[in-house]
This record gives sequence, C-alpha cells and structure tokens, in this order.
Amino acid sequence: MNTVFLLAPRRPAVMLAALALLAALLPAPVQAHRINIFAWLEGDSVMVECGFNRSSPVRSGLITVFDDANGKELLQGHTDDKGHFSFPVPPAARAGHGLRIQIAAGEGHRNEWIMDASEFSGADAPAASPMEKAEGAGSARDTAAPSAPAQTQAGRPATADDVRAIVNAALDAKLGPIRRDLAAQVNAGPGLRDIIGGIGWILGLAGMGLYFRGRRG
Amino acid sequence: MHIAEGILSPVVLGAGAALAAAGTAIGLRKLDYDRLMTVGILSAAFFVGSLIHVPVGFSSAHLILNGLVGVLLGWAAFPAILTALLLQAVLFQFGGFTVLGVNAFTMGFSSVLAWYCYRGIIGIWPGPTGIRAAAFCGGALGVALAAALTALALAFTSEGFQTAAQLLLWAHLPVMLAEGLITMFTVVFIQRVRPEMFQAARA
Repeated sequence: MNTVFLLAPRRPAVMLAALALLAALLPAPVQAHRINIFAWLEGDSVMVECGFNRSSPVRSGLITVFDDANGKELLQGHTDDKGHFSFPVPPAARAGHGLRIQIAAGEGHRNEWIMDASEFSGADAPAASPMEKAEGAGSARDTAAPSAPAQTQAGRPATADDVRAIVNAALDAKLGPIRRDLAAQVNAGPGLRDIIGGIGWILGLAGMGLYFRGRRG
Repeated sequence: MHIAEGILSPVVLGAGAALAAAGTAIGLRKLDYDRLMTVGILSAAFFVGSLIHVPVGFSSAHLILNGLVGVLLGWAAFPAILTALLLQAVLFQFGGFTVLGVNAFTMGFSSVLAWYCYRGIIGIWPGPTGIRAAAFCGGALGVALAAALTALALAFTSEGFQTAAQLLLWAHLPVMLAEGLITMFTVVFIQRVRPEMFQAARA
C-alpha cells in the first residue's frame, strides 16, 4: 500500500503541503475587502449597518435611499462612527414600495441592500380598516386570554393599535440578537471553502492547459 | 482595489474590457507553456493575497501581489490576474463581472510595467544588490501603478481623479512597502533555489 505513496512524485506533495499550510494560516487574517450593508426595520425607522468587515465600520459613508419601484431618490445621509444610519420609514415605503439602500465609501466601494415592500407591512401605519381589525383583535383576546383583559392606562380596553405597538416593541427586543447575528453573517468574509475552492480551480485550469498542450505537441 | 459594480460608466467598462482582452491575448501569445504551472501558482498567490490585510490606521488595505506576479511572469501576468480576479468575483464577491475588464487591466498592466521596471534596473545595475533593488522597486511600483490606474478609471465618476488618487496612494503606502519586501525576498529565494525560472521569463 505504502509503495503507492512512495512512487508518487515528491514535488507535488511539497507543493500541496505548502498550500495546505498557507490555507491553514489564512483564516485568522481573513477580511473581505468588500463593503457590506445590512438594513432592518425597527419600530417605525429603518436601521442600516455598514462595514468593511465586522471590526471596521464604514465611517461617514454616503447612504442614499431610493424607491425601488420607480428609482426615485428619497433621502441621503452619512453613517456615524459605528457605521450605523437610521431614518424614519418614508411614505413611499408605506405606500407599498420597496426601498433600495445604497452605501458608497469612495475608492470604488459600493454596495446596496434591498428592502422588500412586504417588510414594511408590519410598520406602524394607519390601518386600512381599523374597525374590522379592532373587532378581530377583540374576539381573539376574548377566546385566547379571557382571564387577563388588556387594559390601557385610561381604563378602556386596548385598541388594535395599542396591541400592535406592544407586540412590535416585544418583537423588536426579541429579534435584536437575531438581527445582529444575521448582520454578522452577511458581513462575514470569504470562508475557507471558498479559498481552497478557488486555489483548486486555478491549479485545475493550469493542469487542463498543460493536458491539452501535451496532447497537441 | 477592486472597483465595485455600478460605479463606472459603460464607456469606461468597455474600454477596460477591450484593453484587458488585448493584454490577455499578448500574455497568452508570449506565454511559455512549460511554465504554465508557475503561472497557475502565481495566479493562486494573487487570488489569496487579497485576503491578507495590512493595517492602515483608518482604512483597510489588502495585499495585491501584482508587482510580484509581474516581476516573475512578465506579460503572462495578464491571464494569471484575469483568472484570479474572475474567481475572486465569483467566490468572494470582490469586484464584479461587469468591472472585471477594468480591474484586470489596472492590475495586469501595472504588473507588466513593474516587470519592465524590474528588467530596466537589472540592466543598469547587475549583481545581487541590483536584483534586490530591482525586485523591491518592481513590487512597490506595481501597487503604486495599480493605485494610479484605478484612480484613472475613477476619474470619470463624481469622485474625480485627484481625490481618488490621493486616497488610494496614501492608503496603499504600507502595502507598497510590504509588497516591495515580499517581492525582494521571493525573487532572491527563487534565484537561489530555482534560477531557471528567470531564464524563461525573457519574452
């Protein structure tokens, strides 16, 4: 069995070992030189986070928000020292249009994030038919939790809007960590698999070139 | 120094693609096919090099290694860099498909110029010290020229040539130093271990 390995040419083995070593050393300093952007809805404002990677935020990068439906520019602003930017949900988004949020940091860096119109359906907006919603909410409350009737400070039963605000606040608090995780995932640099795959592609292409050259010559 | 998609105008994109195609054609014509594996390995080095970051105060600049690729490959640097950039665009989302031509030309042409500079210095200053100086200059000049060419490509955007060139050159000063040293040590090492690699680089 071992003779197979002994017979194999020595130089490729050395080369592979060197590449493996290189790849093993790499993950520590791996950072994408791509600009990352991540946006989410929090209450009635849109939060944007931009970074070159997790540890280096984009400072005073230019954020431009477009209406995704008709390409109209809605607003502009700069990120703060932590790479954050937030703006109130624009009327266009309430009207059922998506948003295209673009970050430009100079030197040819640019990226964008699209927020679909459906993301804004939960935003605090005047409901189309408050009466119907209130009725629905009321009956749901009656059946689900008859022993704990939700009361506002004024003593009257909570309206649908109150319930929606409470639920939204609770969801924002609970979903915060998940959003941060998601942002970190979006902002993560290329993985080891991509790196090794790319090296494999390059060596494979060179090998194919040699093969066809050898058959012709 | 990867320019992202959606920044450059179609004219600049088209010009970059045409120039990159011409450079790649010359590179493939001049390529000695016995050295194809060397080209592949250097292409892989360029591919990985952009993941290694040099801390630069406020910004983040990564190694480019185009000077090294140029010094060792000459015109064959073009196909090597084009391949590596294509894979970076596919796997890392650095740059992009439409800007591939512009990026390949800025990196590839600066490599070729670095190679001419390296050859020129060796011509007037033979000997081990001259080779060292030439390799350092080739490595550092490759980065500087890449910055200048990238700024030239950005000259037609709102950023303007001067701002872009200043930003890029300042951000890449440490990278120039690092790459000059890397190229110097690599060239000295290869010349000691496998001198035949340089004989083949004449074309």
